[in-house]
Amino acid sequence: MTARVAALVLLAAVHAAGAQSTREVRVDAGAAQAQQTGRVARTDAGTFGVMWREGTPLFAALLSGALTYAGDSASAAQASLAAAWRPSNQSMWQTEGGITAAAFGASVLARGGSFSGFLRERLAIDAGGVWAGSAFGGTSRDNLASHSTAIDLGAWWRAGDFETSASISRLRSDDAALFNAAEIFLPNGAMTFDLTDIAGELRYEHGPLLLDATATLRNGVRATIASQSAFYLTAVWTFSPRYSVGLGTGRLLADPVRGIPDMQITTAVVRVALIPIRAIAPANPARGAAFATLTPKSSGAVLAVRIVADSAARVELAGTFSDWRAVPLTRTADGWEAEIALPPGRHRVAVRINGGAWQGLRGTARVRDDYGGEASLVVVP
Amino acid sequence: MKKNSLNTHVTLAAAGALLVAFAGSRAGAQQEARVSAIRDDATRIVVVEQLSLAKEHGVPTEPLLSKALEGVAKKASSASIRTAMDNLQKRLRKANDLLAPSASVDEVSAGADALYVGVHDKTLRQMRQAAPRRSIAVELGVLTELVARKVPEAKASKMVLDLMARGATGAQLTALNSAVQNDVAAGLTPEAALDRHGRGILSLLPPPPGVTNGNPRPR
Repeated sequence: MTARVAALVLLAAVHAAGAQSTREVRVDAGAAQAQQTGRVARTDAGTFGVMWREGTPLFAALLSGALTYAGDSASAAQASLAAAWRPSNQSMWQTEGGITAAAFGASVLARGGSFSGFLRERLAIDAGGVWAGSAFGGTSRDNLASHSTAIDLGAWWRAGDFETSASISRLRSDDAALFNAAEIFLPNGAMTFDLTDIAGELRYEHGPLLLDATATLRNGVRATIASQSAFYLTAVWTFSPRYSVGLGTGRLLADPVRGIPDMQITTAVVRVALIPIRAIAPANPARGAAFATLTPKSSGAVLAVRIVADSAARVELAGTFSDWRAVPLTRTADGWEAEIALPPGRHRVAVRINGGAWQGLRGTARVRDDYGGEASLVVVP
Repeated sequence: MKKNSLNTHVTLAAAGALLVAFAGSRAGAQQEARVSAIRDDATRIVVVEQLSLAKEHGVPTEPLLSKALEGVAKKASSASIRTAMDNLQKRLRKANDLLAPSASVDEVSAGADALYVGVHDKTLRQMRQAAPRRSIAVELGVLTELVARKVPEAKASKMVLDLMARGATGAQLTALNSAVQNDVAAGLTPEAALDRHGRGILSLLPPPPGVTNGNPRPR
């Protein structure tokens, strides 16, 4: 369970850097039923987590804590700090990093603690991108220490309400207790487990609903004997900016970096945002936003669009005027601009930066667009 | 596998036949070219079906095609585009009825937009009654913009109807819209901004027909 909470926390940190200046504080409370690989007994557990997140357009930080309690059989406490940053507002590069410390007690894998960290670089390309990262971790159980490292390469792509990603990871670890409990073994004399994970994820988000499916294939490399697969499903329903519920079920493969055992798990979480995510005093509210002014002419009008942005790779305008074909804006000293002649009538227009979501223009009336985005309404007399 | 392939071909052939039937005029031919440019087969079939349905019901096809092309540009699925077109088609039919008996294509399109942002049915009827023999497309567009800017519907409708009754021009109405936008950007509530500028324009206009007490009162 702590692995899942940690993954969600770190994922949130990763996405936070793309947002405008924001703050969010929330608590998660829930229950989980877990069954470790090779064990008949199921363990019921209660979970509680707190998360604080602060972000600006260039930097985001996230601090979180989580407690898992399963009576006499297992308990864990975990704290994480993660951050993401970009060199400039429209940079296509993003760096992410974080550390996690945990203490746990369990009847199967004894008592101890773990410390882990990760560093990752992302490159956004059009509606997707690629990443490369590495992670390290150390775990101590009953004074027996183990060490693990991982490197991963991946890519993601977004189309409409769907986002998909695929990654390949290479793991090295000497955590024999963790892997033996997961039924992964080494021949006599070998000391290091070598594994390759291939993972795919499909995410669908529409209105208040979020569905996520993750599949992982794990194979042993060199002397390591392993061939495993796992599938995990998550569903989240957001009732309001303050309340949401989440359900998850499936198998999580052993995570040597964070010291989390292989298990079949089902979770249910209620999330309450004490401070729902909201914008806080942006340093420059104009930066990155598209402004429009309409100047009447003898027949029709000219719609002038201007975006203050440093070095966005591509800024495009589309609308009824272009049959919704994207028209690139012209680069200026401090941003991008375009002047569009509009005939009398009603028009709809939208702008996007670096292939991102289509948005309306400030200075115009903006409406939802039937496709989960936004468009501007412009009336020319 | 063969069966699926056959079904796809049959559906595409049917869509092609609908497309040919649809292209009866020059405007239709232009729309056909725009529809043909949609690369996704499933989306193209949806669009052809929806346009044919609109033609059967006598509602304008241009806003429907534009809605579909917007969905294509925004990488929406064919199912999302079908839903969006279907909803728009319902609004267009409703606007056609509410603005009868003399609704132009522009008026019906503008009426559908107005319904989308939350303008009430009775407001469309009242606007038609206020101007039965001229186009009210601009008035509907301005009302839509005001409501989209979060001016309460009742307030915005009353102001636009008052301005129509006093003979405000399209340019005056769109100027009102811009002024409201500027005030909202400066921190005024949309309602207060509309009050401020709407009354200013009203004070410059002649009284509505039937009102005999001379100059309009300053407000």
